[in-house]
Formats: sequence, C-alpha cells, structure tokens
Amino acid sequence: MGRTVDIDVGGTFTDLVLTWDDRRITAKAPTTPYDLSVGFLDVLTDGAEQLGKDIDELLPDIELVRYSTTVAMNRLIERKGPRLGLLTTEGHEDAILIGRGAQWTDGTRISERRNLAIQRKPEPLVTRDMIAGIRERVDSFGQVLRPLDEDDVRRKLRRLVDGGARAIAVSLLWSFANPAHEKRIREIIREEYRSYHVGYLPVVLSHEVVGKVGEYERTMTAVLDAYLQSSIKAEMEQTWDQLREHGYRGSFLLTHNTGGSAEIFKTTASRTYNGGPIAGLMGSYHIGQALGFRNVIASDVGGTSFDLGMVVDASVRSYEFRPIIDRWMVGISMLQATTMGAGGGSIAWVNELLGNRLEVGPRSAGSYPGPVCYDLGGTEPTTTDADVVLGYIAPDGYFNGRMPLDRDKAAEAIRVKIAEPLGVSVDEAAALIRQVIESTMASAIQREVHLRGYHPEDFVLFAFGGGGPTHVAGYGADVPTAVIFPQAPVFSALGSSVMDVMHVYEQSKRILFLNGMTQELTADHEAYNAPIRDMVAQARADLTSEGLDPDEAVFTVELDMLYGGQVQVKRVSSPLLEIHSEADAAAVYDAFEKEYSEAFSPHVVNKPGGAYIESIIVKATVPQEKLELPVHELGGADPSAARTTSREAYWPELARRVDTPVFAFDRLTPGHRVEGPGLVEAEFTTIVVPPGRVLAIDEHGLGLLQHASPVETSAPTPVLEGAPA
Amino acid sequence: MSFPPLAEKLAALKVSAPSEDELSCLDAVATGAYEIGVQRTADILDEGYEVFMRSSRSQMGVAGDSIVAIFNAQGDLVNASAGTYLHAVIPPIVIKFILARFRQNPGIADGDIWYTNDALYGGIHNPDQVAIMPVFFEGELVAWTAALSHTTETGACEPGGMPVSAKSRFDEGMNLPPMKIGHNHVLRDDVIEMFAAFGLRSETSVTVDLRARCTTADRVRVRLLEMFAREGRDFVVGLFRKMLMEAEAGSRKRLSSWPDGTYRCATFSDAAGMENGLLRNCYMTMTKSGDHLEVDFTGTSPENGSSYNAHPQAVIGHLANYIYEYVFHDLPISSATFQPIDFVFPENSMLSPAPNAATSCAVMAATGAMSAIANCVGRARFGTAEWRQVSAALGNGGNASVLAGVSQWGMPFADMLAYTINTEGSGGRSTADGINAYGFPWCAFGRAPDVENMENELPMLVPFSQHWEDSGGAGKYRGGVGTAQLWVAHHAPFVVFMSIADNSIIQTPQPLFGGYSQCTCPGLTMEDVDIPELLRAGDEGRLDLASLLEGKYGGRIVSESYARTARPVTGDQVITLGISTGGTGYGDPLDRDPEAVERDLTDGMISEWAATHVYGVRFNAQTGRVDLSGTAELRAERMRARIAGGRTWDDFHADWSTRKPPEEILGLYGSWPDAAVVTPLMRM
Repeated sequence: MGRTVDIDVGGTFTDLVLTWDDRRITAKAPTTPYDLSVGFLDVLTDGAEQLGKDIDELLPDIELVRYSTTVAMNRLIERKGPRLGLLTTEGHEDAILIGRGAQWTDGTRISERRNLAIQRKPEPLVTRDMIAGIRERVDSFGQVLRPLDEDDVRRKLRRLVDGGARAIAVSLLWSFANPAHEKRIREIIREEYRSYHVGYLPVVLSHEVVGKVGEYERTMTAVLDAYLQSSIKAEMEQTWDQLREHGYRGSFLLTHNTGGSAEIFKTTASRTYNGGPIAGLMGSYHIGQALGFRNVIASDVGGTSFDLGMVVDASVRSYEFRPIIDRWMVGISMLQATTMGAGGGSIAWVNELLGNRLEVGPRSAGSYPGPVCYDLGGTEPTTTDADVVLGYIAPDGYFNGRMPLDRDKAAEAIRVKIAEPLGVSVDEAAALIRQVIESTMASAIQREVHLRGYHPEDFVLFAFGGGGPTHVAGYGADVPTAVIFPQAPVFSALGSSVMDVMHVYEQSKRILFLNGMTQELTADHEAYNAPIRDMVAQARADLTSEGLDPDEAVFTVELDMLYGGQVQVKRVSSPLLEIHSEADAAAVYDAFEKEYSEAFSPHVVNKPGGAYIESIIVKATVPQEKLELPVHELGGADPSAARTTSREAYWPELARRVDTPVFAFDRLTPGHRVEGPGLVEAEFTTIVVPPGRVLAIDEHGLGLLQHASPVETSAPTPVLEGAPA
Repeated sequence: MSFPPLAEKLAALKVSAPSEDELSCLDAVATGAYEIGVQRTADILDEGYEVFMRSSRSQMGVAGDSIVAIFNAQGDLVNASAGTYLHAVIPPIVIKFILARFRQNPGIADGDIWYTNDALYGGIHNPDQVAIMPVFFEGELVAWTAALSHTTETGACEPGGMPVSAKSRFDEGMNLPPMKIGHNHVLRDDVIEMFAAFGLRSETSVTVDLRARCTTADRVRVRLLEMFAREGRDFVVGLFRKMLMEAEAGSRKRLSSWPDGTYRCATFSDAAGMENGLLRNCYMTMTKSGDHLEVDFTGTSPENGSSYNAHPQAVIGHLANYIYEYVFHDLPISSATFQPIDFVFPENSMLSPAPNAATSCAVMAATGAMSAIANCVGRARFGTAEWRQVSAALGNGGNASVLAGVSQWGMPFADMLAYTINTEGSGGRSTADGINAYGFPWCAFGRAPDVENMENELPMLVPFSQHWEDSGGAGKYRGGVGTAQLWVAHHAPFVVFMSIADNSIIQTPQPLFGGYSQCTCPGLTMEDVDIPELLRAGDEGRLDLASLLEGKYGGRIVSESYARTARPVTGDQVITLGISTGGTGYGDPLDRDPEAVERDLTDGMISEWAATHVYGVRFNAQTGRVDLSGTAELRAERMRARIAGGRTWDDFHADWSTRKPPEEILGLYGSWPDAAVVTPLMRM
C-alpha cells in the first residue's frame, strides 16, 4: 500500500491518515490557526509515535504527502487577503459589483433570503477605485474590435499600484476566445515591475484560470485566485519548509474540488476550496467501489456543518449547478457537495413568533466559545450539549478524554432556554433538539436523493466526521444501512489517501452540433477535435513536469451542451475522445440527449432548436493505488467481550433513562452485534445505537447500523404519465 | 354568473373554518413532531421548486419565477416555496372555485389535473398559469398541490404574452377558466394540442412549461402521499391546520405591535399601453386597528382601454411580494398570514376592472400598489421595535425589451433581454442604502445574464454595462442604483426590437421620509453612429453613459418613451440604451453622511452635480476629499433657504388645491382630483 501521509486541515481539528505498508494509522490534533504548520506537525508526530518512530525517522521514508485545507475559505470569511487591483475592459468595470443582479443570494440559504430588508451584497474583494477599465475590445468571434491601448494600460496600472495594489487580476471580455490582450498586459506589468523588485506583483490572467464564457464568473475566479494566493502560499510554505526540514523529499499534492489532487505548483487557490468535503466524497466513492456499493450517500457531521455528497450509479460526476466560493459565483467546475449549517455546535432556540416552535441552527456556537458543556463561555444550548445531557457522550471521554465537558452547565442551559419555554423535561428537550437537527439532516438527504430520481432505500449511507456516528441513527432513518468506519472521525483524510492525481482543462467554444432546421449533425469534426488535442497535449506536458508518466494517464472528455433557445447547460460525458465520422457525432449527441432528459425532463428535449456545445472539458487522470479492505471471518454475535462499562442514558423511544451498555469500537470484532439501546465509543466519536437498531460488525470490521427488523414499504404511488424520475 | 365575483374571490383568500375532524387531529401533532412536519413540507416544496426550474423551458421558469404550494382539503394555502410570492394569492381562489362549482360535474377525482390562466377566475394575467392536483389518501380528498409560473406566449394579438396594444380580454389569446385537463394521472393529448395551437409562435415553450407545471404539482402530490403514509392521516391533517393557526397568530401578533392609524399613499404613472397620460395608478388608504388591517384602493384611476388593468386578486398578489419579503418574512407563505387583512376595491377602477377588460399587463398596472404598500407599512412600522425593517419602495420599472431576428448562428430567435429587468435598485432603508442592481422586483432571486452570454446568444454587442449614475433616489439612505447598457446590433444584417414599460415621464414609486424618487427611464437611441467602427478606429474617448449623453460619439440622440413598438435596427447601429430603474430614497439627502457621498462619487453612483446640488456636499479642491466645514455651511444655507420658502399649511393648501394638470394629459385619469369614473368604458 506504500507509505503516504494524508492531512485534512479543518476549522477545528487537523486529521491524519498515515499509511505505512499494510498499516493505516489515524490521529487528530487541534487546528492551530495562528500557524497551521504547528497543528500539522503535532498530528504527524502523534502518527509517527504510533509507529514507534520520531518524525525525523518517519518522513524520509514517506513517498507522498496529500493535503486538503479550509484555509482558502477562512481567509475569505475573515477578508484578510491583500489589496487587489483589477484590470478589465473599459465600460465593464462594474461587472463584479453588479454581480449579475441578485449577487446577495449567492452563498446564502433559501431561508436567509426571505427578509429583503436586511440583505447586503457581499463586501467586494476589489473596491471600485481599484478597478480600471482598459481601452480594448474583443468580440464574441474573438476578433479584435478595439486594439489594446498600451499607454492606457501603463497609466492605469500605475494608478492601481499607487492605490496600494499588491496583486493584479486581469480579466478582459472574451479573453478565453482571444487571449492576446491579457497576455500583453502581463508582459507590460512585468516590464514595469520586474520579478526581482521588492514590490513584485503577482498577476492572474482570467483566461488561464477559466477558459470559458461568462465574464462575472471568470473574473471572480481570477480575483479569488489573486486574493487567496498569498495566504495559501504562506501556509504551504510553512508546512513545506517543515516537511523538508524533517527529511521529506517526495511530492506535495493538494486536494482539488474537482475530485482529484495535483502538485502544489500546479494548483490555483480556488481549486483548493472545499477540499475536505470533496475528499470525503471521493473516499466514499472509492471505498464504495471496493465494497460493491453503486449508490452511496457520504455524510459528514462536523462542529458547524453537515456535508453531503452523493455517489450515484458508481459515479461522482455531478457538478455544482452554480459553483460558488464563499459569496462569489466562479467559473470552475466543482464536484457537488451540499453543506448546511447543522452540526454539534448548532444552537437550539425557541421561536416565539411561531408558537414556541423549537428550531436548531443554522447559527452555530463554533469551536469558541462552543457548546455550553465546553465551559468556555458559551451560553446557548447546542446539539453537543443535548448529546452530553442525554448520556450519549461521556463528559470525561470527549476528544479521546482530552477535553472534559461540563454536563451540569449544559443541562441548565437546556432547562432555561428550551425545556421551560416548551413545558417539557430537560431530557425531553434534549431529545427534541436531537430530533429536530437530525430531521433537518434527513430532509437534506431525502431532497438530494429525490432530485436525482432515486429513493433513500436505493442507497447506503456512510456516516463520518466526529458527529456522524452519533447522529446517523436519526438522520439516516430512511436509508436501510449506515456504514460506520473505524476511521470515521478522520474520513476526509482517508478519502484523500485514495484520490487520483487529476488535471482538468476547459475551453469554451460554441459549436453548432445539431442544426435545428436541417437536423444534421456537425460535419466539421476538426472544430471538435482540435481543442481536445491541445488540452491533451497540455495535460501530458503538465504530468511530465510533475514526474508522472503521461502514458499512465486516462484521458476523458466532457461537454457542456444545451439546446437552442434554452439556458440550462448540461455537463455530459462524451463516449469518444475525438470524432471522425457521422456515427461518432451521433454517439456524442445521443449521450447528450440521454443525460439532458434524465437531468431535467424528457419534455425539455428540443431538437428543433438545435444543439450546441458551449465548452469542452478534458480530464487527465493518473489512477492511484486503491484501498484494499481486509476480510475477516465472522465470529459470534455476542459483543460482551467489548463491553467496557455502562451509564444512564435517556432514550426517547422508551421515554425514560435506562442503564445502557457501553462498548469499545476497537474491541468489537466481525460478527458482533450490538443491540440498541447501546453506545459504542471510538477514539474521537461515539456511535449511538437506539432501541430497535442494531450495530453489526461486518467482515471488514466496519459497523453496519440497521433496523433490528426490516422496515415495511408501502405500495408504489401512481404518478403522472411521462413525468421524469 | 360564470366567474367568481369579487366578494367570492376575497372570501376565498380567507382561511376556512376548522372542521371538528381537523380540531381533533391537532392532538396528533406533538411538540417535536410538529417542527419536523413543518420542515418536511418545506423540503417537499423545495424539491418541487427545483424540479420545476429544471423542467421548465421559458427563461422565467428556469430562473424560478414561480411558486410551488401545498393546500389543505378546503383549499387554504398551507405552505409554499417561491421565487415569486405574488402567485401565492391565486390557487386558493381557483381551488375553492373548483370545489364550489365542479364537485358534481365533472367531479373531483384522484389523478385529476386542473388548470387555469384566466385572471377573471383568480389569476394575475394570462401568461401566469397554474396546474393544480387534488391529493387523495385512501379514497379521501386530503390536500391539494399547485405549480404556477409565467410563460412568454399566449397566442395574443402581439407576441410575448403581454400585448401592450390589447384593448379587451378578447385580444389576449388563450384565457382558460379552471378546467380538468387530465384525469387518471394522464394529461390529455387534445388539450396539449390546444396549447400548442395557441402557442404557435413559441410552441415548445408553451407545451414544455405546461408539462413542467403538471410534473411539479404531481411530484409534490406524490411526496405528500408518502408523508400521509408514513406519519398517518390524522397527523398531516392536524399539522396543516396547526400551521394555519400559528401563521395567523404570528401575523396578528406582528400587526398588533404597530400603532393604530390611517396611512395613505398615492402613486402615479404616465402611460397605459401605448397611450400616454397621467394615471393615479394607486390610491391606497391603509387603516390599522388592533390586529387588523384594511387596505382600501378607492381613489385609484378608472379602468382604461389598454391592457394596463389588474383584477383585484392580482393587486393583492403584488402586495404579497412586499408582505412576504419585508413584513412576514419569517412566517410561512400561507393564506393565514393574510387572514387579518381586508381589502376594498372600487368598481371599474384600473385595479378592479370590468370582466371584459384586458389585463395582460396587470403587472405594470399593479406597480403602484406594490410600491404604495411599502410606503404605508413603512410609516406604520417606523415607531415600533421593527423600525429596522422599514424600507422605501423598490424600483419596479420592469423595463422589458424583446429582440428578434436571425442569430449569428443562423437560427431564428425572439427573446426577452433579461439584463434590465433583473438589475433594478432597491429602496433606501432605515439603516442602510438600498442595494445597487439588487434584482427583479417580481422575483427577487432572478439573475441577469453575463454580457458575454448576451453577445454569445444574440447578434449584439454591449459596448458598456455599468451602474447607472444618479438613478437611485437621493436620501439620507440612497435608493440602490439601476444599470445602463448600450445595445448595438452586431454580427447580423438587422434585428427587430420592441420594449414594454412606462415611467419615462413620471416614476411610480414614492420615497419615504423626505427621500427623493428615482429618475425616470427615457427611451434613448443614437442614430447614425457605427460603434464597432469607432472602436476599430481606436477612439480614445471614454466609453460610458456620460460620454454618450454628452454627444462624444457623435450621431443624433433620440429620446422617446421607453415603450416602443417593434422596429428594425440595421447591423452595427445602436438598438437602444437598456436601462433598469433605481430604488427610492429614504430620509433627507441633506442628512446623508458626507463621506458616504464621497464614496458614492468615487464608485460612480452619483455625479458631482448631485453631490453638490442634491446632497449639499463641498469638496476640497486640492485633495478631492470632503470639506466637512464647507459642507456644514452649505447645508445650513440650504436649510435656511427651505425655511424661508416655507408656507403655512393653509397657504400651501389654498394654492395647491387650485392647481390642475393640463386637460390633455387627464384622459386616463378620471375626474380631477378624485379620479372617479367619468365616462363608462365601452369595449367591443
């Protein structure tokens, strides 16, 4: 299995999966926001110790380090990036401030948008005075309408630098169709500010980060890359230096939100956004494949968020419809991962306007002050407080015993803020808090599953993150089986350990693929093949420069296509790398029609309007070694050998407290069955097994949480004829 | 009578009295289960809303200009997911009409699909169409579902579904009263054929959107049945009733906190269809007493011979846009939230016209009501704990333009240019400016396209696209500005252009507390200027609206009404200046923070002229920064001038009440000054 290090730097914890030949070691350490390399070294030291080594002995033998991070997101939230300048086409300076109108809705939840009186557009990353319009213009055919005025560039560049610009984004209209003006502007900047100058200016050209139509999304991607580059670079440099200092000589890969990973030197900042949840999703995909599951729901319950990703029909090729980073639409393709404000820190409150309705979230107590039971000054009861009060989480066992919790304070907060206003007991109130938040999570799962035309019964649910195993019995009720991994609390890092190296290239190019009037498919095959050949050549060069063998890479083509007169673009997988005949073109069109009608509705297929290709995407994937799950013989069902203690816990199903057996996850062996009510403690999490459920340990040592008796399903409901799934 | 009279429509908006059965079912809804049930209805609706957008063909459907809703068995709206709240008012009227008239013949059965787009029977205007399905659980009618959206073709006398030249409902194409268009879960082919025939100009849009509505209503029905099966019939029936009761209680609680009083607002417009003239398009008297609100439209101009009329429920729908976004934003979209509100509509006014009136541009006729409610409610709430919610009226110009021809891809096209309608400014607020280019007042979440997408899809060039300087109403808190784009025909020998709007002479929305109204929207075109040629020549002039208006590009500037009938424009010539209106101002501009004025100037939101003459701000000639003491002096001077020019109420009234606009612009107004019907309108 090789020797690799996979790190996931989250907002609260830094997780490690250390693969050492046939061993897989996990560790967790608090994230150190002041210097992330400290938490990185802490968790690495912990992992090394588990191997009986010190870090200087470990690192020279490590072949690969992969890293996913939330730093990009945190920098955005804190607005701690450098002052930027933006050079754009004259007359279009306001594009990123107008933000296609309702910019204020981007990155917000539906429930947050209703109150129009309090809405604001996000604080811009580039203020209007730092945006300069350049005299130039290219039209939609890539033809130069207005030549680049170089004196104008120099004048405006000087103004931006005088205004304090520390990095420059350049985004001109139609630059992806004709990049000559953007490239020349970079040359001019380099002429004016040499790389050896103290005030060296990083420059990001929009066509190099996004090669497709849509100036708002493309410009914002360039702006974000310029904005985040220095902070991510600083973080990476600290970590990189530490790795080198301790003897590491291998590659350093970053997890991308495309579902692959690539060398740090080939990574733009926006590609690292949401890396953790995507790593969790990709882990679910690869492990699901190993286990033979075609449909997997990947669910991650953390301190502040609930992340959800879907593996459907053994594929994760589902992209965000309108990809957003923080509050900004971007032009890059990101795998779809739903994030909602529901986690251990979600605050419970009573909505008096709606007849004392109990609500949980989306506000979160975060990690500081955190839940009341942390005793760091938090006063609002949270999900974790409910877990502690109910007896599910042992106050002296949280975070492997390293963080003692104050159960009494949690109970008092729930009594005052929830139980008394609702007129119920503290236990009942705590159970209601869990019920409400788990129901919110369950609803999100149902919605995601239904929108893809499936039912929850068609899936298995992977529950991970520190809170996944604690709540999955509640939020996964419609899914017959929840799978809980021994590495659940560090699952995203585990996921990154099985991710492929992948590069994604995109070019916007409108091709009339099916003529609406004649119903003839395109005969200009070269228009289709030429950009693909260019991108494959670029990919081969990039892989070679990373020390990889391009002949080992798998190249695939995806297309953004739509029908004439429509606005819904669909990303479809092309069955062919190139087309050379009418039959080839027909195969590509048929694939589009099938995917389009499945995604939207068969009723919106509009051949008379013609079919267009908007963008062509080439993926170069170098497969990495996959996880092999050990197979053990199943033993007896009696888990009593793994029982460590018992404690009182309240079970709403029984409406009372009962003395509940507690088991150690690492002592349960294949074949064991823990009947609910029961609690199973692992290093950084607790699996809650309510009455009526059973946790069975399978042949791979994984926990399968199921109903003790099968759930009845009702007869199918008749549906409208011709309705899409 | 064949259609529901006003009293029946207004009664249908009220929540039905709970039955004994429903009251007994309340016991099945325990704390905890209730919250989860509410969330489940919201999730079902959100799923339906998503399915609706994905299944729709028309741009507005795709953008989410729609609503998906759940009703109890009596037809009361329980909850909805929406981009357009105005649609919430429609289905209860239609469902209750179906229950009252068609229960026996043709009967209401499981698998039925009901449909209507007729404003006479409860709709907004006929491009807005609704599919409704009954939900039967174990043989009992337990609920209804509905999906409603706008389609831009109805087979009217002009393309696009909103014919400005329609003179009666008989010019407006398909008007379908509530009828069963499918049974046994099958949509009838002959009905689809009828839709296709009415929608010949854009057949696919019409039939695909029809199916999308039916698909969505059915999806919600299926999910509701799953909920009934899982949670039990009594729970869901009790849940729906409890949701209605709590929404009403929440609504009454909020209204109770406002001071009792009478609040009035008059709004005006400058055109009805293609006929120019002054109209008092809304005269609102809002009386608040205890937990009750009455909204009276007496004093609104008479109905007119154009399509700029709105039936009463369409007017109430336009109030719902404001009410659900600013007043009951934290309550469900539910019939119950309107329970404490009553309405009075004067007969034969443009907000309650005769049955044969054309109403396809009802959304333009109702802009007055949409902005007057913001004004009245804003004043009612200002002295309450909710003062932070107070906001001056949104821009609501709805400057819609249509471009048609053969595209650069060789394909015929006819499309609405979505940029201007989706970038209007919002009103100044009690704590902040309005949002610049905030969105579309009828569907706040609608999005404007990228310029590159416009140029990619259509044979046009957009030389500039910018915030429109000085377009937001001035105020202590400025109205958000709109946008301005120059549109040029490009890559085609010619295109055909038309547009729909008013507000070229007078703006409808009224500002608040001394703020100013936004500027008007002229229809500006430049003749005899080849913009691409100017660009090729490397012209050094700055490319923006100010330069255009100063004549720096040459050519001849033509100013007309924004509404223009179809006309051809040859290649590389200017089509028009596409503009979206700003929001109204809040508070006295002389109270505006001078530094905010400086920032506005830097950001291009206001001109130097406005900074000095409207906001009374002086700048240091050397640094360009605000001169605080100079500003204080200038403002004091302005205040003294105001006081010096002041008059007593009696003096003012004596003069004001004798003034009257010229007769030639009062043809649409009604009697002066009361706007009563002078001559009954005859329609053929």
